[in-house]
Amino acid sequence: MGEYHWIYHYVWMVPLFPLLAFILTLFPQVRNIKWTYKGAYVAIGAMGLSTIYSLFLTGRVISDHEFKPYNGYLRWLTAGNSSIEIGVMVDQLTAVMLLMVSFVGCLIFIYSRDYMRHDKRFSRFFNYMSLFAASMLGLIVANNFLLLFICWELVGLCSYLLIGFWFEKTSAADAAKKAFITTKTGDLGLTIALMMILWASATYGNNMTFNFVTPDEKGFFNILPSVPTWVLTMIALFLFLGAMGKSAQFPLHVWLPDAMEGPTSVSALIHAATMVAAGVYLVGRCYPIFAAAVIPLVVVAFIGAITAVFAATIAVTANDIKRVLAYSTVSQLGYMMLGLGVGGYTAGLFHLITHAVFKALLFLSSGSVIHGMSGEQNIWKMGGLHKHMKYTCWTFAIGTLALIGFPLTSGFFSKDEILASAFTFGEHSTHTIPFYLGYIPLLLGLTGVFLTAFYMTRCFTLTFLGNKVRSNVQPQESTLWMILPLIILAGCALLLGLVGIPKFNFFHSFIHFTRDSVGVETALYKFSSEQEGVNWIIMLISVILGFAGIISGYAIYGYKIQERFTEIKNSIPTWLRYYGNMGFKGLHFIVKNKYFFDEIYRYFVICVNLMIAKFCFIIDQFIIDKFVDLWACIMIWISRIKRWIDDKIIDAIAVNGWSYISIVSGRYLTYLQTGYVQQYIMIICLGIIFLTILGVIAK
Amino acid sequence: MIQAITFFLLTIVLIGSAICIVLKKNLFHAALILMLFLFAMAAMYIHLKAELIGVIQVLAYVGGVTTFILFVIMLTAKITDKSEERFNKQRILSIVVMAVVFISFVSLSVHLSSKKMDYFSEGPQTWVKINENTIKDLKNKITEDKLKIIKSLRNKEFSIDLMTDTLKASGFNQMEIDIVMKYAVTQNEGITIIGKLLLSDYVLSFELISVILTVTMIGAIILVKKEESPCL
Amino acid sequence: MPVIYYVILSSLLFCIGLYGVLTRKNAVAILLCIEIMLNAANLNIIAFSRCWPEPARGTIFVLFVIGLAAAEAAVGLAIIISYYRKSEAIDLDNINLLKW
Repeated sequence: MGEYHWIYHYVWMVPLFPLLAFILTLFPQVRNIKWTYKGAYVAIGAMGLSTIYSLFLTGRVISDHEFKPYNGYLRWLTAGNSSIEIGVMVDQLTAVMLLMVSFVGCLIFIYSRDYMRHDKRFSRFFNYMSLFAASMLGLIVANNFLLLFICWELVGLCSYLLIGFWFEKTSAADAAKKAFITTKTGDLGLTIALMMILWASATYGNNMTFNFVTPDEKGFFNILPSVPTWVLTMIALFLFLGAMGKSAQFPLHVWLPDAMEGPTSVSALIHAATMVAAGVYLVGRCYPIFAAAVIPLVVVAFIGAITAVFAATIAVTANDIKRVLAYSTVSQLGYMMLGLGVGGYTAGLFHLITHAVFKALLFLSSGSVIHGMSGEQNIWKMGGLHKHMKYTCWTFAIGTLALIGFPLTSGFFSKDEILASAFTFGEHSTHTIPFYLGYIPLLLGLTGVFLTAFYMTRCFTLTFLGNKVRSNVQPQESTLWMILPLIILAGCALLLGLVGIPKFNFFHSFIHFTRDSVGVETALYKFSSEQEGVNWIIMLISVILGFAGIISGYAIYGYKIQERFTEIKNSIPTWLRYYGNMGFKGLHFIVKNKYFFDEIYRYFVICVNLMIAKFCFIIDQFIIDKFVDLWACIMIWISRIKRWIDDKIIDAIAVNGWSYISIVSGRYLTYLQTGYVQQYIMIICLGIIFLTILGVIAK
Repeated sequence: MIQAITFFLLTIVLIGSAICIVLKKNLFHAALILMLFLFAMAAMYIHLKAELIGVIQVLAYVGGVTTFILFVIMLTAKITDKSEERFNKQRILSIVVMAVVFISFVSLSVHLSSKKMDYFSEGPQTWVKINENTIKDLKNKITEDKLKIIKSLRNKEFSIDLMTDTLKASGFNQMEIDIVMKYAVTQNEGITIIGKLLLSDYVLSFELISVILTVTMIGAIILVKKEESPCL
Repeated sequence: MPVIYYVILSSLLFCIGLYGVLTRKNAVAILLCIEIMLNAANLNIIAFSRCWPEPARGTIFVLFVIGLAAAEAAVGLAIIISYYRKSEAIDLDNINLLKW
């Protein structure tokens, strides 16, 4: 322990600052009294402290040449010989995630001070946000699965609270429930995975443990070589199920678009940058498990790829500015999973970091747009905002370019690295996966690039470009408190790419997990798709696709295009136009309705659930309750019978009978008292005779 | 011999008078026959050599009780009324009861007397005892060796027959036996001994009977007291 | 005389007296019969007392019996007199105030 700088020993303070802010904002003194914004300042201060700490921590981690991961823990629950420990862990992944989360969080808090200033539950907002920040940071620094799970659930709770922040709106309350339940469905997988980890560590290791890795070789990752592959596969698949819930992968993605009912800051922090990244972080943290069993990685890759394209197609038809960004988030999460799955560990995590920055930027500027448009969220009612909201427009543009992967933005480098890893995966897997199916992730990724460019250009064009606003609202630019984070984030979005430039991939070498990180030789080394060089072909293809998307998007939705489009439309033969129109409208209908996923879930999952519940209720009501009533009736009848027995038989015989005998015998024995003395003497004599006879007989 | 005749005569008188008392219609006559009965009973007592009781019977019973009954009869009963029924409805049952009781008494006593019991087989006796006074009196009257025999018999209870037999068996002739008998203490039922017993062994009963008699006196007086009329 | 004769005699007298007690209607006549019974018992006691060498036990008993008989006769007659004062008859058939 001695060789660690003090900054490692106190890393648990990083989640502690927001937690203190959470506690402080609970007190009425900090509440919003006459718009004094005390809650905001407390929260901003706490996050600022966390940011500074993480900055220094990262600096120290970078500058430490012989860096070994720090692991500090204390015994929490003890049962006999085994004990559950909780503690903190610092390695390179932890350091960058801490920095990202606290930095973006701090900026979003600053933004929210003005965004939420008219809300009557101002302090409560910062209360919830601080709790969220504390749990997210705690999740990152956790060194064992149990603490990670606790923070995972806490993050889910905060998401529920924040999505339903304006719970007076029914749609917001419903969206909060939907988010919570959908992520809970994924958390079921995580719970099963945790149980399996405990069992596996007990069976194949020496003792039960939740720890990732411990210096004395007792952590779960230390014993990975001795665990059979099928166990690891099952654990990894269940872990990915949890990640699917949190990170809105393909079947469980339905909650993320509805989560836009919450305030924009919430969407920015939780549903763009941090919470949804928790799933990716989980896969990244547990990468040794995934890598040791190869099949889960393939599953991750494919599901990620499908998600990427699927969400991108829906985003093309979205009309709410936040919905567009939500589907975009789902799509990009798919990209991250794709990157991790094909073996590009560094690529996926780099994309996570850059995506957090520019997606937060996009959400915050869309919030600024909504704020400036006085609550209007439909992009068809906006337009020409570049004249009125200059800063917002430029920051949104930078974010869009980063998202699309415009060359030399941060998104470009991260997305490109993912695609390169996908290509290498396709190459390496031709002998294990048949029919060139290993290239599917790459193809889907490239398709996603085109679609991403298309819908983001569409959104930008419809919102900002044009001459006049399509509705009657007079837009106004936002205040400094809201603009400043936008500018800072925009700068980061541009500059962050420099960290991960190929050839000089500092990030790669920084975060590249090898034996150094966990001390374990993994199967990944054979499987690794880490690029040492630059894949120029893929880079060129993705750039071309990006430009194609931009051009087509501007062409279809841009200003003054409608007339030219009509000319083109008239030049197509009628039958083609007719069928093309019908097919196009049909396709549009399906995609616009999100492929009817919500309806599928409602009818096949929720209704079935309700029917089962109703069925059980009927059984309970009519059968089981009838049994209870029957028993009660039987009891009542038994008591009635007993009462009757008691009254008529026992009382009659034992109680009333004796009195009856006494009375009746008395009535008749009275006649013995005749009053004649001589009769009495006669009776005496008869008695004497009787006794004499008795005596004689007895002799 | 004489004893047997006396006994049977007295038996007849007793039974006859008892039956008369029970059956006679005239109450006055019944009371007078009661007197006869009591006299006969006193004679029976004397026959049994309980003279004291006989005398007391005459004094108390005949002189006291019967007189008192005669007074009350004269005060209360309607003697001249001859149409009254003597007996009530329990006549027949009473005869049955009487017969049964009598038979049970008799059979019981016969049964008991068939067993060998001390002293009861011979009937009432006179008992003699030789004590110091007797020996003193007999000192000069009989020879020394006979006196020695008598001394050996002293303070033992003997019936007359037994004594006679014992002395005869010891060689006494009839004259000596008569002398001994003359001075032997025969007062077993005498007033002396009764007086002694009353005031030593039976003093409690003695005192209690006096209490009872006092109480009876008071009670009887209170019972017959006339209610005082309010105005004198 | 064997003592059994005296026993039979006294029991006979007792039973005659008992018959009289059960049967006679006049109260005073019942008292007469009671005297018969008592005397019969006295006779029995004296007869047995004579059979015993111990001095005068029965005699004393009889002494008390005579005394008690006298007392009881006195009280009974007193009752009869007071009853006669109340109602003119001492016919036991009509004395049934204790009837149920």
